Amino acid sequence: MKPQTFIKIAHLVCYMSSAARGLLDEPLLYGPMRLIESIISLIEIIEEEGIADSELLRIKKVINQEKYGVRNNLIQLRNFLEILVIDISEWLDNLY
Amino acid sequence: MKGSIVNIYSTILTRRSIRLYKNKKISRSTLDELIEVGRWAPSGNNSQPWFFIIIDDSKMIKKLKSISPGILCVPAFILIICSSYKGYNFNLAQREVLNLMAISMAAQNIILYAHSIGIGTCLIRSFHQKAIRKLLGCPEWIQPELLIIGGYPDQTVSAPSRKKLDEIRYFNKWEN
Repeated sequence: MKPQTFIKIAHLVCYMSSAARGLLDEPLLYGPMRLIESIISLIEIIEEEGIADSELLRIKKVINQEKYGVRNNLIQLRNFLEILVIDISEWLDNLY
Repeated sequence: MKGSIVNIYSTILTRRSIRLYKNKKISRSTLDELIEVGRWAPSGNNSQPWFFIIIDDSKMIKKLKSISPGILCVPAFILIICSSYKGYNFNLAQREVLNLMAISMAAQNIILYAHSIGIGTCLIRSFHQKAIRKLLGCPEWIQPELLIIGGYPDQTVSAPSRKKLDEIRYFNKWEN
């Protein structure tokens, strides 16, 4: 593992623990957004290691494009996540 | 006043929360202007219960971002407004309320002035106060209360909905 990858993982661990604490007092909609941010960070970690494929990078691009637009609207967020789950599960399926 | 002279009414109505920024630094002198307008906000008993910590180092920004889940992007700066819990006389409950009111007004000054000179901002409250205090080496009587992230905008945000004036405004009595 590259040293910069380890640093990114450390940041993600810190982020997720801080998010977990904050979510105890924050609105319901914030939870999915924190997980979405974590997904982006995980893809960036895979990218850092040079093993991200084009589909994963496409998924990251889509998430980054859409996350601001859906963050305050439950219906839009639900629709976005429905598509995201299908995309990511298809990506996973194709790894085998 | 530096920058262009703009109508305050228009500035208030056109300010938006900006969450995407260009990868471009903001000068220390401009950041100082933001603090200057912040410190002229009103405060109860003129207590001025604020301290302003500006983070413009990229490594520190990354560290802060990791304990501030409300930050979704990489800003040019993070301005932490802290309240002070020593040096003037109110009971604790009053002090907490008055401190928050004063800090909110300082923040409003800052984000409006920033907008008037072309800098986008967004207020963030989702962060871990104790972790930030420790990371920055603040004493116990300093409480980080509010983050203002900012930078040159890399997005255009349309106006969010607002309650109508008739729904929220009364003259003289609670009736229409």
